[in-house]
Amino acid sequence: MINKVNNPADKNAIVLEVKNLSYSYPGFSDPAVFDINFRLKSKTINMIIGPNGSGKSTLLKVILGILEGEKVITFFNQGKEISFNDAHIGYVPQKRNIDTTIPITVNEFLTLTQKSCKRCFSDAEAEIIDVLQKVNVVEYRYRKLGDLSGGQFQRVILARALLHNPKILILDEPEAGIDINAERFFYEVLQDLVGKEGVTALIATHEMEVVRQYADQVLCLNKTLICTGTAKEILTQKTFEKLYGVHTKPYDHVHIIHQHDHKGGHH
Amino acid sequence: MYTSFINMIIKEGIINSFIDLFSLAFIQRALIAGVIIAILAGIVGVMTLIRKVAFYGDAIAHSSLAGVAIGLFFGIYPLFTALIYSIIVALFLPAMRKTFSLSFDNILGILLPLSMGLGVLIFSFLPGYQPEMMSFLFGNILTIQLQEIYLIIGIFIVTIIILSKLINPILMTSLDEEYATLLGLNVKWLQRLYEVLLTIIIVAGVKLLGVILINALLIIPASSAKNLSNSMKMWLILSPIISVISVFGGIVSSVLLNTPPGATIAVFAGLIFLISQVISKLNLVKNS
Repeated sequence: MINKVNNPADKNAIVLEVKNLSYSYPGFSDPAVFDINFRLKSKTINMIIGPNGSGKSTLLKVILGILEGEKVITFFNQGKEISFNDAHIGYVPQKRNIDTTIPITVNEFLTLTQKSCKRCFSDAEAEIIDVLQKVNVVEYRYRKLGDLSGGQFQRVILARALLHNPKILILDEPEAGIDINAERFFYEVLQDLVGKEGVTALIATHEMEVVRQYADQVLCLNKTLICTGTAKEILTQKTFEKLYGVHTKPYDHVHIIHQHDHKGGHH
Repeated sequence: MYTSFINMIIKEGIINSFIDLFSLAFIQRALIAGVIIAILAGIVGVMTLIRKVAFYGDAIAHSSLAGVAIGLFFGIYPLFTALIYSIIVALFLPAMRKTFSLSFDNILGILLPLSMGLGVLIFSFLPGYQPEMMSFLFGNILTIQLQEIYLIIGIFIVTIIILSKLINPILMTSLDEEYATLLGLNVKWLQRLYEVLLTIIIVAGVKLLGVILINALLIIPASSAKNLSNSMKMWLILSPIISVISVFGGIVSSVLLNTPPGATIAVFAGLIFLISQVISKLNLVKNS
């Protein structure tokens, strides 16, 4: 179960260490990501930023084991090394790859996950209510997935990830396709989980405002890690030129991304 | 025999005529086989729609014609060779896709006419088998034999046992393959299992609707049920029910109207789909 004891000693404990991670897609000689090394501290929010095609999703999928790359990934629990299965990783995928025309209720969606999940702790109904309460969508339990708004849907996907009782949550552009209020609410829920449930989050994002507000550690990725640091250290002109090319200011970028998102028809 | 069914109704009244009709052994066999296949097709059809591979059943069904022809050529029970041939095709599809680096749709589009052409070609070496070919193309459930009904009942029992154990992981894999991998499910194995189940049901249904129309029974009732459902549970219950109604209604109508049973079932299922569309567009299905 989740360790709710607030031991100041494990505040800075490492929960995940990635060493020499590389991945090439089959049939491509150039690696999608290479030589990546970083650590995640317990109960922190870590954000990966980088231009499109910089390998953010690939990196997350290699950590999750969905893609099999070269890597040394070590998971820790209170200083002790643990296996991938014991690490209980929750995942919120990037795009909504679930067909929302399928008639399935939120409850059925989560029950189906629970019943297929070897790593979930219980299959009790109480657990479903619990995860839905944590993300504030419990009143939609018997709604069809397709009838939810973008923000509600995204929180249901987050609830699904919580069924693993995760120590580490991996989120791939969770704000894609939801409006600014839903986005803010999503990150508040997430911040709550980190604070109260002792979760460590690793998030790929394009939203610099979100990075500025919520990130404890920022990882800049463009095939390999270009820089790591706090939001304050990273969101500077210099690192932005390095990451996105010249003439892009940190907040110009925010602007550009927003324009792109509106034109791109994400809503 | 049944050409004069309308006259019979006029003479003996509707109820007596139907009692007479249902007492005919070949009608009983047709209805029993049809209903069993309909239940299976209704359930597996839901999975097919979730996976968005409506075309897949068509490709498997069409390719089974080559298997039928090979069986007839060598004097083996044709549905047995059709089953073996189709399972081989189903299992080799992913490998073929990789080897030729083509999309799923693309490879099916090649395989479907290729196998069907092969089937017709072998049939052309079997003079006197042309009427047989027609019944494999469009089905003729009224000619089903008692032994074939035992076979269909066997397939039903095995399929239901497998589904009762594995329906959740199969649905999970169909719904979200990536997440199913993360949950530790053996996604590849579950996919192959679904494909083999689908193939068995298709081959079992060849007598009912023929290789050209069998996919209708997988796709149309499941689509109608989707229009009318508010939950996965409802969908999985409604789909086989609508499928059974389509087959039952189709067979009875075909006898009444003296039309080919396979085609009548397909049209009957289509009409139910239109009604379900109207109901769902009029928003008669309440959102829970």
